[in-house]
Amino acid sequence: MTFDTGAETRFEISFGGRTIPAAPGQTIAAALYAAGVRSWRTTRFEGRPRGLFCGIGVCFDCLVIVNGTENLRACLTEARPGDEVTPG
Amino acid sequence: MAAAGTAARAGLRVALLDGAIRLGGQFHRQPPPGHKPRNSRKFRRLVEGLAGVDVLLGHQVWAVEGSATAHFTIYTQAARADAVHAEAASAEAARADATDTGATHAGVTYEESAHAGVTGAESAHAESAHAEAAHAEAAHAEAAHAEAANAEAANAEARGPLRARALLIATGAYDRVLPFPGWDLPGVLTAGGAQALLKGNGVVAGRRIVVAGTGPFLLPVATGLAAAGARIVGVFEANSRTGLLPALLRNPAKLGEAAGYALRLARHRVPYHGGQAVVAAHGGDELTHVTVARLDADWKALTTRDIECDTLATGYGFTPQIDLAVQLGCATTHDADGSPIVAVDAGLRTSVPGVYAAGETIGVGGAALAELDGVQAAHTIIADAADQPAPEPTAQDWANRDRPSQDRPNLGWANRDRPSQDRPNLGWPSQDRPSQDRPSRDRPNQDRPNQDRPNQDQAKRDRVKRQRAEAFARRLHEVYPVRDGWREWLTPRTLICRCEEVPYQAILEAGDLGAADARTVKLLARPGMGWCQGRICGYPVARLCGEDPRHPGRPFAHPLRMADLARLLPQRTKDE
Ligand SMILES: Cc1cc2nc3c(=O)[nH]c(=O)nc-3n(C[C@H](O)[C@H](O)[C@H](O)COP(=O)(O)OP(=O)(O)OC[C@H]3O[C@@H](n4cnc5c(N)ncnc54)[C@H](O)[C@@H]3O)c2cc1C
Ligand code: FES
Repeated sequence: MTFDTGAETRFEISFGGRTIPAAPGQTIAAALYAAGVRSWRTTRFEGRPRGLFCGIGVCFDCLVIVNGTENLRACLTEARPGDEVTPG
Repeated sequence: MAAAGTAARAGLRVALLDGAIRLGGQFHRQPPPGHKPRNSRKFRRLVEGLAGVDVLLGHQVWAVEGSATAHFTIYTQAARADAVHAEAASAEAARADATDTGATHAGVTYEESAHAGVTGAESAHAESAHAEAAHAEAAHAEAAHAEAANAEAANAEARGPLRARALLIATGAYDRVLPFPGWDLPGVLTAGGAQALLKGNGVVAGRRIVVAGTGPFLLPVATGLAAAGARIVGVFEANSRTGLLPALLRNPAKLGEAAGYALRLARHRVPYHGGQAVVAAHGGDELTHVTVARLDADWKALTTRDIECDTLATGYGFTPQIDLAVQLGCATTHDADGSPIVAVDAGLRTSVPGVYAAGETIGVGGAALAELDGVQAAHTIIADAADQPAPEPTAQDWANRDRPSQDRPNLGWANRDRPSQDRPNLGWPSQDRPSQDRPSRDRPNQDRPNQDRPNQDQAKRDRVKRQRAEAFARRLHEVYPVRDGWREWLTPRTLICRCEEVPYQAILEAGDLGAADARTVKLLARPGMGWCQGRICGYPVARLCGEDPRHPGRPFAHPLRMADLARLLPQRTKDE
């Protein structure tokens, strides 16, 4: 569920080929969560699914690659129109 | 914010740096642009107070070096470096906007003479838009100019690091979480994380939510999520629900707040259980249900039952974020709950001349106390900056601090013209003294007689308010402790360190190999060696080794992207 931010200001980002709606000022993690995507990466050793945990940039569970930039924290990184997000 | 505004009104040049892209810190966290600002009146007052402050949003401070005699050099990283070049144009646009709303200040050169760099939020901020752009945003809920923030942060990097004569560290805290089987399943998140998602993004973490942990913070989280439409299956408080009652009865304002939560819980039919905790989370790729246990006095699980839910929001208090202070060599001490905090004197000076600390960094006490701290710290900075040598302390002053007067911290401003090698760190010279020798907010506050306060009555009222708030914070720690019985919730396979995927078994094995303390366990089993650098597992690992958590002294307050580091290094070499 998201606040109604008005259709005209909303935009889209992509995650693994999926189109994810986002609102200005939302983080990438928030947009993914709102779209029902709750894990977006797997761990190095055991391949465990991970998504949002601390929500404020402390735990690094939420790492993503955005437009080729690696190791961004999805919970801190603001979504921009057209962002291509891939698992970090 | 309170500190930055107070110092700026006294004529100091102040920059407020915050890694976040919107003002507010945790408590006043603001929704995306276009939405009604939260806590409007109080927040608006704080924002209005920032007139004249260079508000630099999206500036993550990763290192500070230097001293009050020379200056402090503050290194920042843009929240989103990839956006930098692409958005120079939007930054220009935003700047034009800002001018429309009366903003000036484009292109400040910090090299000149920033007087006080303030880091953190709530009581002090730091970010990367112009004060007025942020101002316009908050006051009129217009466009957020996050892009401007990013581009501005990048510009700041290009311009070189910020310099300041004094530094106030108010970097807040983060959720303390306990490990239990399944705590790394997607759908399990911290209580603060759920709150940040809601407050800052307008996203409700789930549909059927369990809230569990300890402390009054669980209540705004539960009621906030319920009001936003989630079904809160239950709030599970590991301690007693009524422990705070005696303290509440002595504090009408807090009693009113508590009654408000009780009403809202009732309105949304949220059951609030005491002496119970979530001891396991289950699901395949995502959370499907949790195991809730009744706890004995030491938090060992007694009877258990399973509850279906798609989301668990959990938090067992907060851990102060003190990396920058530790980096600068500030002495630390322990909060009432054992957390490492920055040691300060009554004026909120740290042991390093020119460095001050406020808010959760000097002890977890909530937003109201953090704001009062900010005002206090600003008054001290103003007094110190006015070049007034503080008078010799009275006997009573020092009686309360158990230390001889030559140990007196920070005479710095009085002799700031001396070359730096003449100025040893006058504060707490013996870093290895036991921490109980260091003043902390647990000690009674003796105000310094010389404090240059514009309004003594107001100052006195603030002081009384702060003392009450500190007493209440101490009470919270007593009523909502974390008991060690959670160790019994673990199975050998439960991860303790999420980053390095270190299971409990590996910690036990390290113990079998003779590791008797957290440091050795870390070397043998690698907990705390991953991305988060022990921010999440530091507490559990310390307690598993029977220690109070210690601050590990991280080289960077924020892990740096290598590309950014490479870009910054030539700049640094030039400076040196
Ligand atoms: C996730 C979370 C949510 C919370 N929500 C609530 C709530 O809803 N209600 C409530 O009563 N209490 C809440 N709290 C408790 C809260 O910590 C205090 O009530 C209050 O916000 C403390 O104020 P402060 O100024 O000490 O720190 P904060 O408000 O945390 O402000 C610290 C600021 O410093 C910035 N910062 C930190 N490190 C750096 C750095 N290296 N560089 C640049 N900037 C930096 C942060 O971005 C932040 O804006 C929450 C705590 C957390 C961790
Ligand atoms: S969720 Fe912890 S860093 Fe993003």
